[in-house]
Amino acid sequence: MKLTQVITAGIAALAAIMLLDRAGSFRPPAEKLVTTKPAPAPTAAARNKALPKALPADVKHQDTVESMPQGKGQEETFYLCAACHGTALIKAQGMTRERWDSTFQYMIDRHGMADPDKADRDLIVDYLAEHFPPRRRGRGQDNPFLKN
Amino acid sequence: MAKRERGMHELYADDPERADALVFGRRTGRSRRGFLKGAGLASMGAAIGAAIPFSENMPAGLVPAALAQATTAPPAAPAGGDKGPKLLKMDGKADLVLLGDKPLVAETPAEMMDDEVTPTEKFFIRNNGLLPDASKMPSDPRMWKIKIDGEVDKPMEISLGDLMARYEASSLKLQLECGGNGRSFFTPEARGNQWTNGGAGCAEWTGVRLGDVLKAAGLKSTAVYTGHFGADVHLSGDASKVTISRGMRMAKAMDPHTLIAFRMNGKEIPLVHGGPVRLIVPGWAGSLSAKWLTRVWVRDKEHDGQGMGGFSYRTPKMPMIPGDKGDEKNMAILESMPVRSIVTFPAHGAKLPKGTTKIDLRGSAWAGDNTIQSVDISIDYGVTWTKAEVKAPANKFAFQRYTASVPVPSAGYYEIWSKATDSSGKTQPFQAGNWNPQGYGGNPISRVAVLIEA
Repeated sequence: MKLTQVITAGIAALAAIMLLDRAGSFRPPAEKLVTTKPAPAPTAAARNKALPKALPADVKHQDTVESMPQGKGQEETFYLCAACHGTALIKAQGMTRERWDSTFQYMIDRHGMADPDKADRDLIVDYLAEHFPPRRRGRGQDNPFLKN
Repeated sequence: MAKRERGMHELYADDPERADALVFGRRTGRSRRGFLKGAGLASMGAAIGAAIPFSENMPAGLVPAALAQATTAPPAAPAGGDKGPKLLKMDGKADLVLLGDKPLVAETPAEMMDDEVTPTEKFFIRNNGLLPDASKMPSDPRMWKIKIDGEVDKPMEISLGDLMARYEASSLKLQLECGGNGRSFFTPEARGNQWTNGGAGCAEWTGVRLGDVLKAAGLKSTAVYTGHFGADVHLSGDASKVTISRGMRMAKAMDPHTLIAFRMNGKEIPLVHGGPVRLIVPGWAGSLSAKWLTRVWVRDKEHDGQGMGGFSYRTPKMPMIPGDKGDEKNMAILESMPVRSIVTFPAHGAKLPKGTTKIDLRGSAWAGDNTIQSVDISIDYGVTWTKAEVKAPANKFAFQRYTASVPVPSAGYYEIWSKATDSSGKTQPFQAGNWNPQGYGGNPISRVAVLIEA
């Protein structure tokens, strides 16, 4: 019993650290919600093919480029997506490349997002698929019917 | 690129059984339950901080509920960590779990729903766009205007003041639930806000019946559907874009519980909850309950507004492969929300004193258009079930409260599972089923972890 306790204490400590880390990611310390003062609505630059290089003035969230994981496409993804919504929404997702691509299309079709050229689209969809892949896989194995 | 951290949850997500082995040294036998020769039982118990009395029943790869959800008193996050939801800090609101700040979305932890009527401060928040600019609203809310047009004989634009004066008001306890409530239970992840069960609440709403107003406007024989519009601004700030505009079949619009509401729990509806006036369409996806209501467009066909097509608020007609891209033609509109129950006491993560021999628990259950027939409780991973005592709803569409007293054989770690069955005989499944790309209808048995101190 005592020996078991010694061994498990070590494993438990490791588990506890992981638990703390993850629990922390569920509920980090409360942060004050600050709403920036309303600014005039941006003019319709929506159909522009060029990717935005900055956020609109009235973006109303606190996120910065650093809110997103480092990697190729980080800035392009941030400025396109966070022009409308916060990065919390992006980071909560876990999807295959195919589903990220259909999400990209959904934003164009349903929310009037700019429709960039194929290279830019691939850059962003690749970034999203790399950093936010499916994480929940159910009972320990992939679905035998899924192609990707 | 920075190496990605692999937390316990990620390990479980990747491969639950392997994670069992890695994290706890656990091995399961062919039954996939229990702990083979006790391997890992002690360490999993140690991580949770207690013995696991019904460990022989615990399914393999099941993340203990104690680790699977956040608790109300979280340990401090690592400095500079910006991952995951934060707590909402807003005047007049409790510390809800913030799912996103733009759009502002926050859910109510189950233990905050421990009331028959959800207090306004604890009511969940779901926005699709930006809140309307309060400075551009009429200073007297009675001057707010609502347009009723389309397939009616007498289109009208009526002020809130006139609406209150001309139509009979009713006060009803009505549940409101985000269409995506329970989305986080889908495997693999469905797209959207990752709600647990907290995208729901039951407030007392006071308003006039939408049906009375539509009758007064004179519905034409061609009137089959509604389309709802609110004053919220699209996230892009572009005034030409509609944030969300959903609609319903005329039968639901004429239901006497469907209200144009102007009071929430006896007071003016706060701006963040859609004040001064909003629709309340109880039991159906919350997006129908347009906030800051400006217009009800009566249609001669199914409404085609923002949020009506594609995979939005739709579930598959023919079951689809989980994680697949899906086919829009295979989707049907989600109307009534599915049966759901939550344990509201004890709180997830509660420690019960040494010597506890039974758990007196309580919770809420609701089922869209239906009522609750029964709630069953298990503290041994579903091996045995105890019937809860379920109260009748205060009125149709109200939360139903339940209580149960379940004996516990020893100290240790327990999961309280609750499973409701509705008046049509449908029960909550063990896992979220009928997977769909945007994750509607996820209503598995809910789980709360408690610890009885040794």
